[in-house]
Amino acid sequence: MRIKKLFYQLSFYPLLLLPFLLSMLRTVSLDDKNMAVVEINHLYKNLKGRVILSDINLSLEKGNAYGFYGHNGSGKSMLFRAIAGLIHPTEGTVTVFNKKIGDEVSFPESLGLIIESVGFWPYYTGYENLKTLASIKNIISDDDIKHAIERVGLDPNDKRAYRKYSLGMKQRLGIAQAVMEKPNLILLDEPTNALDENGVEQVRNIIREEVNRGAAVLVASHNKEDLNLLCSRFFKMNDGKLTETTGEILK
Amino acid sequence: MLKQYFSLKAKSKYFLFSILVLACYTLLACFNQEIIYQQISIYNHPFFLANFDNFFSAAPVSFLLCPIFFIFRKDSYDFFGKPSVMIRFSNHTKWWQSCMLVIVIESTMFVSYLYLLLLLRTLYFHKMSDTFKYIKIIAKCYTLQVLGFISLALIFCFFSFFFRSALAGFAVAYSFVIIEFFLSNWYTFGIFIIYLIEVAVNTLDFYVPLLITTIILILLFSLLFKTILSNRDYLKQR
Repeated sequence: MRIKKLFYQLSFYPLLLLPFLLSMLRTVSLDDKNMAVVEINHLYKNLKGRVILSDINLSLEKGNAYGFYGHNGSGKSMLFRAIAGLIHPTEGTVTVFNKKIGDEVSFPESLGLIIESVGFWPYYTGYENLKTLASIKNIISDDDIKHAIERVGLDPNDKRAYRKYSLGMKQRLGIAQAVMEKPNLILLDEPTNALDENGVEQVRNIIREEVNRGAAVLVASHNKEDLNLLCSRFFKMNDGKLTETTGEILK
Repeated sequence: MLKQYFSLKAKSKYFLFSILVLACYTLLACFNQEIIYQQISIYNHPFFLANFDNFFSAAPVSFLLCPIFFIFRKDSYDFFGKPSVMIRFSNHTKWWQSCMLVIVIESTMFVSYLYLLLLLRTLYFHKMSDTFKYIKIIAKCYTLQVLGFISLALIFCFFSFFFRSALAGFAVAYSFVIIEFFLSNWYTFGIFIIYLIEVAVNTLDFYVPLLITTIILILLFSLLFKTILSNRDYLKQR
């Protein structure tokens, strides 16, 4: 009788592990290729009485590139800001890696971003700038930083200060900081701006490599050729509204 | 992160400018000793206190030390205000805690540098032996001044992030200083920030209550500012 009672008591102990097991399941599910990395439901954003984002619904998976296009002020950057946790929705939710932005986390945990001019520190070299940014998370080595700089076609040993860089070099360094920590979600707003042909090709290759690595890459661009070559799905932003379009319409 | 931040700061023109201006301010008294000896004759102070009063009197605090402190702190806004920096902290609390840590370190650095200049000035006048007599007063004043600059930095930091502009942060924080300067002139007492930075010896009678009140206020405002900023949109940096 006593043994039976003990058996019943012990059978409840695994229940204590249930939250841990559930969180394990969640982590495992992140590796699922078809899992939604970004999930947006009925997102609205009003600023000073103006509708900036209107009823945005979106589900994006990892291992894909997504193209966003639309005229200036259509809301592309604002949508990226909402995904990055830099603005708070007036209504609706943004969930990234199963965590609600602004509720469970302030900013997505594994995010690379170019959203406005990155604004590096002018008196530092490119390498020193990236090292400063990398020191916050402290998850990559000096060699990783140098490799990221080389990937965008810059020299990690260049002793010139950032302020002496050309526009194209500044843009390349911006791309390097967005991808150096191998984030699972990458938001690139006009990534090929100010780049020469060689630079554009390098950035396109980097985006392809990041997609092959399994990252979800969101690209906002006026350059439809970039979007056509890189992306598997296309979204048009118009006055804060988002509609999915086909590749043919884009051409 | 801190090591990288401060090595970045060491190369900044704002940092170098503020260090240089404060050094020039110290040198002024070496060329014009009258300004210290006037203080001795008016208040009948010993040399050390006259030198201290001259260095930290209301006018230089309001019109020189505080504006220079804002310039000294400008790099902090440039660093923590960048989206590429913010997102790497993953949450607002970590980001704000790092901001606060930098505020405390920089305020302590700033006051320590001022004391170094003050001591160099004392050394120049061969009055170092006086200094050791007042070591307890120095320690108390130092603590209050660090807290005064932390309060000022907290206001500057909050309004800079709130308006996404270091200039707006400077305008609001500095207007507090100017208002306090005129009020302290009319009513012959300071209210908060100048009262802490322009430490008069009679202020030290209230040292412990002042210390506790200031620490509590800093903690409360830090919590309040963090809550407000985490609900604020980060639009374009100006």
